[in-house]
Amino acid sequence: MREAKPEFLKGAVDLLILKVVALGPIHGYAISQRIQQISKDYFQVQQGTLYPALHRLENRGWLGAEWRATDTGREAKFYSLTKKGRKQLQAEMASWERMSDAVALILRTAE
Amino acid sequence: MHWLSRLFHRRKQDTQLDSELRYHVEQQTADNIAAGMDPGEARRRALAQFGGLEYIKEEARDARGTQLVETLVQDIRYGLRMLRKSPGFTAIAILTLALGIGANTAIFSFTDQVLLSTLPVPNPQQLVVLRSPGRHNGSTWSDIDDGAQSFSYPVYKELRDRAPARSEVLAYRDLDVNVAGHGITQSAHGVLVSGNYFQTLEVPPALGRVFSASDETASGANPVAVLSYAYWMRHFGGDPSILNKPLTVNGTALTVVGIARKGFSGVQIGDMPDIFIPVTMKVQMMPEEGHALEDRGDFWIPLMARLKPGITRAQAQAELQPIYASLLEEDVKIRGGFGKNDRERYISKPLLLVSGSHGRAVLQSNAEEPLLVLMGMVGLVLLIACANLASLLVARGEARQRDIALRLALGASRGRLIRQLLTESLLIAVAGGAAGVALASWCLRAMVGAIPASAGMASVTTSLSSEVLWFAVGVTVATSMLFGLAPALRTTRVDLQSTLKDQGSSVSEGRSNIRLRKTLIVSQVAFTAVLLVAAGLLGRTLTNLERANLGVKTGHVLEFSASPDLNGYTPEQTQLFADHARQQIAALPGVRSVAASSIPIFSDDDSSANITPEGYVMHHDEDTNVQCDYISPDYFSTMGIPLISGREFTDADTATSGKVIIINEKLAQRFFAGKNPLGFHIAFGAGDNVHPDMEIVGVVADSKWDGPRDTIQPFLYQPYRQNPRLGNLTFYVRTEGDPVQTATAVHETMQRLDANLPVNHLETLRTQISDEMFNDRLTAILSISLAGLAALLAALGVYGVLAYVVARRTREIGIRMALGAQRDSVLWLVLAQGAQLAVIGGAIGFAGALGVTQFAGSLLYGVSTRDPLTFAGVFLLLLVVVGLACYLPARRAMRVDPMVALRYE
Repeated sequence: MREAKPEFLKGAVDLLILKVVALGPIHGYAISQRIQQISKDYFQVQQGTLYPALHRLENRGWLGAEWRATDTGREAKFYSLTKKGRKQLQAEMASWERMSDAVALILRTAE
Repeated sequence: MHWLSRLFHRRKQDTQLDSELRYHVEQQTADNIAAGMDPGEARRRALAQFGGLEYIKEEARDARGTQLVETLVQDIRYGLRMLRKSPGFTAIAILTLALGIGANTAIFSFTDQVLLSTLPVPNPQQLVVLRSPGRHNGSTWSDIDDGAQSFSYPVYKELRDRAPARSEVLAYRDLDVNVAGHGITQSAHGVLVSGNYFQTLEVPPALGRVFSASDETASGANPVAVLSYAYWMRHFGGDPSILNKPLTVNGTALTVVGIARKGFSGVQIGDMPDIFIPVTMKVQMMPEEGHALEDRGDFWIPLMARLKPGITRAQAQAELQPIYASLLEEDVKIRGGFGKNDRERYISKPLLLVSGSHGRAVLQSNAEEPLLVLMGMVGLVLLIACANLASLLVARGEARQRDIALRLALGASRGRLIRQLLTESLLIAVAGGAAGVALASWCLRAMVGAIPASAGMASVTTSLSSEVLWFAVGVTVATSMLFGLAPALRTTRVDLQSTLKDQGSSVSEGRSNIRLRKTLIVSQVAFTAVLLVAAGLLGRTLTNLERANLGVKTGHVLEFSASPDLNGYTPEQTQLFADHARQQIAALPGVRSVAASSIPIFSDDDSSANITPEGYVMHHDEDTNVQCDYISPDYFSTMGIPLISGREFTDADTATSGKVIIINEKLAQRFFAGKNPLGFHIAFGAGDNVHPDMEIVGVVADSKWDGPRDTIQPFLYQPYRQNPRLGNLTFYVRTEGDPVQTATAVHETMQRLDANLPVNHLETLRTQISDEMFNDRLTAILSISLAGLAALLAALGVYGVLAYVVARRTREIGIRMALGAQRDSVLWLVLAQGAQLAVIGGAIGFAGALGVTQFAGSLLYGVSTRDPLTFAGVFLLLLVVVGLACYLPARRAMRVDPMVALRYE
């Protein structure tokens, strides 16, 4: 059984995807693998969350997408960050930091 | 990408999404194999990890934002599929809606044209109708309002000339005319109008000119005519060269000076005038009347007025009233011969202005009550249809509770499901609305097609009123939304666990829905009871009217009329013509006897006069008014009116022989009570110098004159040869066999006598009477159809609820049977439920009917508004209908096999 993740982390999926895509054009499967690796298996983004999120972000104009051949020669959909997406990433990162600072502050004070 | 283009690229998007997801699965599989799994297992794990592939696709599509339109299309497709899957429900729901919308739109469209439409002229609200109730002491023509709307021409002229400050008074009178042209003579609908008629109504000419003051100068001095646009089109093909050509109307050559604006149809709703003629041509156009234009004792012309802008009815009345009063004083002086009482009463007659925006309400006064009753009835049908639809939708919502719970459990959103259910309701509403429009247009065509020419509704068309249509559609759509939504909300709020676990056969569940449906059924039964009672009373009225003893043997009689005077015949020529016609028609094979009279029977036309009977002592101020007619020999034997004593008129009664009359029993009883009236004399008029000079030679049995509803009047018949102004003739031909087969021969005979003389209304007497009862028949037939419809809907409703109750209670019934309940008692269990609904609904309905039917009291004939037979009949009918509707589900319940029932689901 997987460890239950706090509810509010669900909102972080968009942020994580934007961050990973910011590193360079990448396809869906690789995004989920990358997030899992970097977070040392803490986050396992389910496909049921990932793809809707990708399409949503694309729809909002934060991600660009393009079909191109992978190393194995198969066609895959590569996502990249748009200018708008980059701004959004910065804004979300800032707000995330503010929130985690605030949480940390409360936790410390409560002790 | 713009959402719209995305919508169009949906298919491409879907394929791309497919391959994207497939790529993911392949990669995962490859990774799994790399981690050491065997290929099959690797793929299975990859797919398992994915969860529901379709679900993800759906979510991804959701995220794309074309959702609303896409799901709408999807909802509609899904809705259509669901409706196709339950054709019974769909058919009943659409049929219910179609009947409700169709009946309402048809009846309201009809009513709209007859009662609600204003005259098609600018600012109709400025128009008023003049009326002056009270005795006129003169010759009075009347179509409505007991002659209160008829005035003499001199009074009209003075009113118009002396009161121009606040209103413009116009005059008009319709009449039948014979128009000769193209070698044939045809009858047409003429109107005598004042010179200011068109200008005051603001009706411009389509061609040529309309009348002006210079077309109303002196009696007989204005031989001109304006044609209506429709008549011009119909008879002259819209040929403009008709202008300034002569047209022979009633034997007088009139010059056509113009064509009235297209669509103008006079000042009476329902009327379709053909030819407008200046009022000053009255004597030429109405030869039989025999009154001069300037006769102050001839009340023959209705008046209307247009109020000047900003003037109220009260202000105009205040201006006209004193002028009118002084005119009445002049009347008394000029006419003379008034007694003191008569004089007082005459000059104190008021002049009232009533709203004229709907024109002169001749048609409306007859049609208003039946139409209001019918409107009430279709309103009830709409309510019943809504109740039926509601109950169907609630049942359907209920039946789909598990389906919905399942879809909720699988992750469908509540909003989406509600939208889905609403889409279904809307689809039904749209289909029902479309079917309703088709039905309405069919019904309206049938109704308008059934209107006889004599009903004065020539202008009523078959066009549906769009306002009414939208109203009916709106109401039903609202109903379907409301009752589609209520169960949707309820079912989407259900406790998933229990609904899914529960196999849908619990006894207690869905109680409140059942109560709602039962309430709907009870109200349907109640409304149906009201409709059935109304239909029963109106149906009995029609039967009573048809069976009413008219005093005339109506079978095997053909009738037709002709107006030789309108073709320039003198009274002597007319009499000769009538004699020849009688002889030649009598010689036709299959003809028993033939007779003629001046005034057609059963046509609302009549003529009456005051009489002075010999030896009768009159009370002070007694009204000795009796009805009169001029008739030919053999009249009574042809009409089947029994001769009580004395003789019929014969060919020996001529203009030069002694004056003779025949009276009916009513007259004999009133003025010659206890005496044998034969040999006594009667004179027309009253006063000291009136000496009875007409000898009574016969007494005949009473007969009705206007129709079945008529009360018997004292009647005096004179020989037509003794009519110095004989003009119009109505012939009656009694035949051996079917009168219709003699019609052609009769028509040919008339043509041989004078090919230029139009033969009008050639039909059987029975047809004439039934046309006369058109309002009654239309009301009865429509109300019976509506009530039948309502009963059908109620039966469907009851059946639906009980079938549902039985299905829900199958298990309970099984248990009861397993515990030893008899099949009969199970049958009664279900029947009792139905009977309960019928009795409660019926009781409420009867209470309502007792309150409502009194408003239709004057439509009834020979039956009371509380007719016990009708109420008992309706009660029985309701029991039978509900009983039948219960019987099928009850029988199903009775046949429940306990073993199967207990195992059921």
